[in-house]
Amino acid sequence: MTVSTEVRPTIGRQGLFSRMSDSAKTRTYISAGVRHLFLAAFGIIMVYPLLWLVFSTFKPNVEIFSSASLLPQTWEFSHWRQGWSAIRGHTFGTFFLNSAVISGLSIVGTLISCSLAAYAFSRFRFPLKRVWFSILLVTMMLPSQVLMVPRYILFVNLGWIDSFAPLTVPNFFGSSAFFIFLITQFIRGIPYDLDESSFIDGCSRVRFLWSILLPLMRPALFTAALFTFMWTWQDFMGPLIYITSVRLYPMPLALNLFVDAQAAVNWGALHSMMVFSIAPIIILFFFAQRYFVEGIVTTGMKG
Amino acid sequence: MKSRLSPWQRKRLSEAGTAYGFLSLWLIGLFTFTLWPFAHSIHLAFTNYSFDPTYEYVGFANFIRGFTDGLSLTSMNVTARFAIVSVPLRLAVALFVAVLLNKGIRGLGIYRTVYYIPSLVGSGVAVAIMWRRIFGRRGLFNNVIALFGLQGQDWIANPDTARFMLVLLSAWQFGSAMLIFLAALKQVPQEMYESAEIDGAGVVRQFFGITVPLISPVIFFNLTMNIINAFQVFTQAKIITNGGPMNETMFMVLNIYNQAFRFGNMGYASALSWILLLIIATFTAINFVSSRYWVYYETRMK
Amino acid sequence: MRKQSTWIGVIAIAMLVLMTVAPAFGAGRQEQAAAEQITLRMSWWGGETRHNAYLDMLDLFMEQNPNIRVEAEFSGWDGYIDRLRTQMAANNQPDVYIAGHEGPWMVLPWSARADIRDFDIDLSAFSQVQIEEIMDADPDNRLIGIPVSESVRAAYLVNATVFEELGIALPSRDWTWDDMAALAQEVYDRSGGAVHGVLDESAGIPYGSFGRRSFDIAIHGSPQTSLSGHEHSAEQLTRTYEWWGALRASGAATPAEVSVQADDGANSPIVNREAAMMSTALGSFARFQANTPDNLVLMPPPAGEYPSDELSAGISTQISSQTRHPEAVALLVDFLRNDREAGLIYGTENGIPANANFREALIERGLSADEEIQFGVHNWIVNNRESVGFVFPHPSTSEFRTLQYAEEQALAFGRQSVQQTVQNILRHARDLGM
Repeated sequence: MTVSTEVRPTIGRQGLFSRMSDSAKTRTYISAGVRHLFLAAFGIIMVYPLLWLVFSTFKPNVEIFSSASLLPQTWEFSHWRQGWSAIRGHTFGTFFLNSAVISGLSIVGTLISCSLAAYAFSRFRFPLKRVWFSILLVTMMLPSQVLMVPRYILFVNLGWIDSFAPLTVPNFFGSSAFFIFLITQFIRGIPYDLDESSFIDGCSRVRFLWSILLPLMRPALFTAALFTFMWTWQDFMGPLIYITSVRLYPMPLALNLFVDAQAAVNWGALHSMMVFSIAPIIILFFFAQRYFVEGIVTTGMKG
Repeated sequence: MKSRLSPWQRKRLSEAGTAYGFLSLWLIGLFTFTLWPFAHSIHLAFTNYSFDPTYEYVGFANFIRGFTDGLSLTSMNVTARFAIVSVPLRLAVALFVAVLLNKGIRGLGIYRTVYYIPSLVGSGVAVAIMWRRIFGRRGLFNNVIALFGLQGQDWIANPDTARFMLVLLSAWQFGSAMLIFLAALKQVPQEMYESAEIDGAGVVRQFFGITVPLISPVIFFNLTMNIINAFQVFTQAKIITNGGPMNETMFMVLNIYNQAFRFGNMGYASALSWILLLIIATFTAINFVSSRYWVYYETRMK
Repeated sequence: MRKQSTWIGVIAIAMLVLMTVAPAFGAGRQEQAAAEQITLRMSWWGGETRHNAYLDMLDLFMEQNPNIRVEAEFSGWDGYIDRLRTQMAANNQPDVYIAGHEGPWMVLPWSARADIRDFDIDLSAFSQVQIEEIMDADPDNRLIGIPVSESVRAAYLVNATVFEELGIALPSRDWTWDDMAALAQEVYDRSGGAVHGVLDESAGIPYGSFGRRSFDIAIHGSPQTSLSGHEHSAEQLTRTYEWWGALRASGAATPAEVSVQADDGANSPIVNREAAMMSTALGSFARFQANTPDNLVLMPPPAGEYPSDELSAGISTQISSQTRHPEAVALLVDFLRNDREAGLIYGTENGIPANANFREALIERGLSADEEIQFGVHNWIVNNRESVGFVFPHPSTSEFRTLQYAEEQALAFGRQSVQQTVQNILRHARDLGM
């Protein structure tokens, strides 16, 4: 099979409709209505926890857990300010920045190392390939809980404790087998004819990866970047073990600073900072998702 | 030397060299960050290590205990039951929604974001509380079924339904699998649907005839990853049910965590981890063998 | 082809270089080169108020001891023990840390904790019962910590608003377990079944419960730990389960589906009005009160035939056996737990302070409403109850509890008989060599 070689518009409603009769159009409208109804109803279940979280930041602490209503009975606006500077000597701006640095470096590292390895696994014949690929998969199968102590000892010996290094450097060396596997699967879905025609044209492997394969892999790379961002943004156990100085804490550790087993917890302040932590991911996702919509279609290729 | 190699052999050799070049970063990482902790945990699996510097070698005792101890056997049983239900359910929901969202409809961006929110919110306290509010004794679900004259119960606390509530939660967080499916669907050339439509193929036939085969590498990926993740289910069980009631949600990794970090049996926990690894590896291997019959790769090479 | 491999090799080498210089960014621990400057590390867990209290104390300490710098490594409760344990496995724990001596804390290796008596620290203001309790926990009978607070374990929270609405008088402080049972029944009956009287302590409550332990000691004279060695264990367990089973059957105690997911904070039955009474540690009072608009009051634990372990040691300040600055550490710990100023800053952050001088200082300064309630109960117990110290030193205690709770939950859900439950629990104890 071959791949489209020209740039096409995104799937347009007009394109579909123009070939339809009037009754078909009505049917489409009804089915679109049903679909919207279904999607919206489903969507409410999806956002309920977030709504509850957002509204709880405006409730007095005594009301958050004892009241069944979603909306506050009395509005309380001080939680956000309390939460922002709850930890003496630091604001959530610091913690946010720490999270951003860790996530940013992790994304760069993951994209570079994982796409290189994935290219090798998907497009080359080499000795021990199956063995290495099996090892790649097996590294995901041991629960991280038992690896915590030996990893910690390793990083103590490297002198990396209490820095961002244990959380970021391994990403430059393909520590996320998940993404190598993911990108491998995506490349394997891209027609091999493309490689052959390029090599006949005298294109080198590296240039082929860079200028032909990478643009085609955009949805996969975007997925990998998004997941890396999300998982490092939410990672709790890693930073907890490796980072001890509060000024280097990322968001999840900072949020945990509110929570004590015995003392009263300022839930409103905690929840306001939780919303502050989740919001950037949602906003980023909302604006970046056009990469999914475009994907392979508008990227096009010069055959 | 060179003259003894045929041009074909030389090509293979050079291809292998380039491949290892591309792999080099991962290989360095593997040997530096991964293999030593792995070796360490195998070593501990044969000891009675409990964080104290003095410990003894106990041979296969930890592994034997892993296959005979009541709690361990319970945890294997409930984990398998969880995985068998949750993996197909989550993938089916994810694929269904992805296909639904792949069509050009108004407000697509909002829907996609909204459907991704459960996965973004993670499985923290807020989700635990919400789950209780929906499926608890005085929860939303019971209020709804009360309209039909049905008597509800506490679905999370009840030993018969607690695990299924966690299955539902895992299905509800289908966002990541959905995104991967969406990305794959975008790689399917649109002409194929157009020509199929001209041939008169219905939506269902298009789905099974075009969509499924073309995204089968990604279905395979999601299946493999979700099996691995389902067997490692931990956070939800720790936060929402803490293994209870009656150990009905005492999943293997929760048991491993407890053994290592609450009971101090680090050696035994390491052995349990390797047993878990073998179980996951077995399922993954079966999946790989079966993939030859249903996964369609564009690549002509193996 | 060769060119490309070289190119990739260059990237790999560049990454390796990055790896070796990595510790430089993110700035690791700054080692002060100053000749006499000593840096100590200290860790604790808590919420905002505790962090700020400790930071204030440390500032004061560093002001008084300019040659000592204390690096604060504080976090929330989640994962605190995991981090400490991981650090201990690598001999990289902080010099001073807050921890306990039983239950989940037993997984911290004893060898990583120093004997407090090896340091120059004044112990005269602390209760001997508590000191001995902590020593009993260590296999070599060393004193591995100085108690922070004098915890009343099984204080009873009573929802006064609910009592008032139902027209029930609050109990008096010298109430017994049977009084409590009668009150619980009254709550259930008068509310028409809407509110249960008390949280069922025998139903394998997931966070573990203080009331159950207090009940066992008060009713049987022992907390039933070394189960296999006690001939009476089966009889005692049976009596406990039948006593609570009767309350559950009549609605006085919460049904299994409430008990098994009760937590000790936001989702506790007393906050969401599923039960009008439940047990908690004295120091947790403010936490519950902060989550509900209802008015809560605190009661001493109900009395039984035997004295219970109400005033036992809770968490303590402990010292790493790896510390390289024993003098500085002794200064710091002595300051935290004996200096009057420090005591006033810390206040009742962990409940009633263990140091008797701190208690006097706080009363002198004046108490807040929440503190007044805690001190009232504490005083009453000191004057009216004999307190004993019990520890569960068996290393498999936590594992046994997990198994025991599952059996108790099965009993509460009516899935097995009392007799079967007791047999299974004793079998688990035997299997674990208890």
